[in-house]
Amino acid sequence: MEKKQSKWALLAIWVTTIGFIAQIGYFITRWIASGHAPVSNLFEFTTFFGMMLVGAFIGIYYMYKTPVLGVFTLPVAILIIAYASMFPREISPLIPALQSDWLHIHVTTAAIGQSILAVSFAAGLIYLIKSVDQSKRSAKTFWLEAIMFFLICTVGFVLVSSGFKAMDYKAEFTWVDKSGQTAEMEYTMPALVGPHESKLETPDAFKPFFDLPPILSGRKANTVIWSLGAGIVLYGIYRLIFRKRAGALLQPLVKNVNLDLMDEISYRAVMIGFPVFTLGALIFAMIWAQIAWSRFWGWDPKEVWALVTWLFYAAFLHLRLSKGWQGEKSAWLAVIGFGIILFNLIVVNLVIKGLHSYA
Amino acid sequence: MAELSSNLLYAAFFLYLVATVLFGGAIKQKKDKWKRSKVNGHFLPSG
Repeated sequence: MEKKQSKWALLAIWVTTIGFIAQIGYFITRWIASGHAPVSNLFEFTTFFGMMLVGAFIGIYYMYKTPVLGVFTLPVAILIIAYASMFPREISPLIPALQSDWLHIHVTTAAIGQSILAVSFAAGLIYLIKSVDQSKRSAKTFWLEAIMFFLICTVGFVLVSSGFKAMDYKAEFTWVDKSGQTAEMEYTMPALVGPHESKLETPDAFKPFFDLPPILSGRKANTVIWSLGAGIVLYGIYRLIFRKRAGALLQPLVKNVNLDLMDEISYRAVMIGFPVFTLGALIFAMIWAQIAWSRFWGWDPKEVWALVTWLFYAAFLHLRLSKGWQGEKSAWLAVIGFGIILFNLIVVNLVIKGLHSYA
Repeated sequence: MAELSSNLLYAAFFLYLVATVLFGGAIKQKKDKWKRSKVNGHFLPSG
């Protein structure tokens, strides 16, 4: 069905497209400067993920022409790129384990799959903001608010990281890793938790309350704790000012949204994203694992969570097609699925140590 | 080249911010159109 676009919407999609072209320009120029596909560390992978989310949105926008999807998808992409920018941005040579053409094939395909699935999240979130009754307290309002809180925590992370970066805060630690070797670690935020058997080397720096076991990365776990703290403060300030749930504040934006259309967009995004994700995060990943480590599967945390993500979306499609889980149930599943993707991106990459902890 | 790359990323980030505001404007305009439409209370004659 051909829909007439408003001038604002037309201008918005043009600006989005120009932004997307600029980001492709970033990708190409960084590739030339580094000599390899810029998807080799957390900054590069996450900006690529944000870029492909915008690309997926542009594709789906031209299919459905719904401006409201832009209001929810683009801020997610902006948050993802802002989040990425908090990690080291220097161009560095590839470590030997990553020197393979499979880096481009596996990582880019997995990121494209995840970004299409992220559009499903945006459509699901719009569906829930419109359909969940905000006039009374319920489990649904609680969980919808939990999603909003998480998004606010991401803003908190960006603010806290930028703040300590501007202050040039640094604290050096020596610590003992899981193989018993003494190593050094630099914190860029005051240490609430320290690495395993840590010793603070920087005088006058903040001393950690306790040390973490060697399986967890102290610096990165500390960052997660700071982000949660900043999120709680920001959310508290928001509630004090607006005196209502974030979901309720956003509800007027989705007043005229067609719920069936959002349901269809969410479903179609999973239908497209799921096979791409399967190819990139499982099949190509296993081929590269066989070449690099001589085994297809090794139960590395990243591999396990890629499998969990895949099983979840397989269950999503199964429940929808065979049990008729449409509408609100499907929207909740789309939101939870994206939560699993983010868990894999943030917690598995940052907090749990494994073969994929390159950042 | 690395600096150009970084500038292009900033440009993209800024353009996405602008686009979000413009999409917001598109929704608002749609809402205003709804407000402007009037129901006159007359029924169409049957037959």
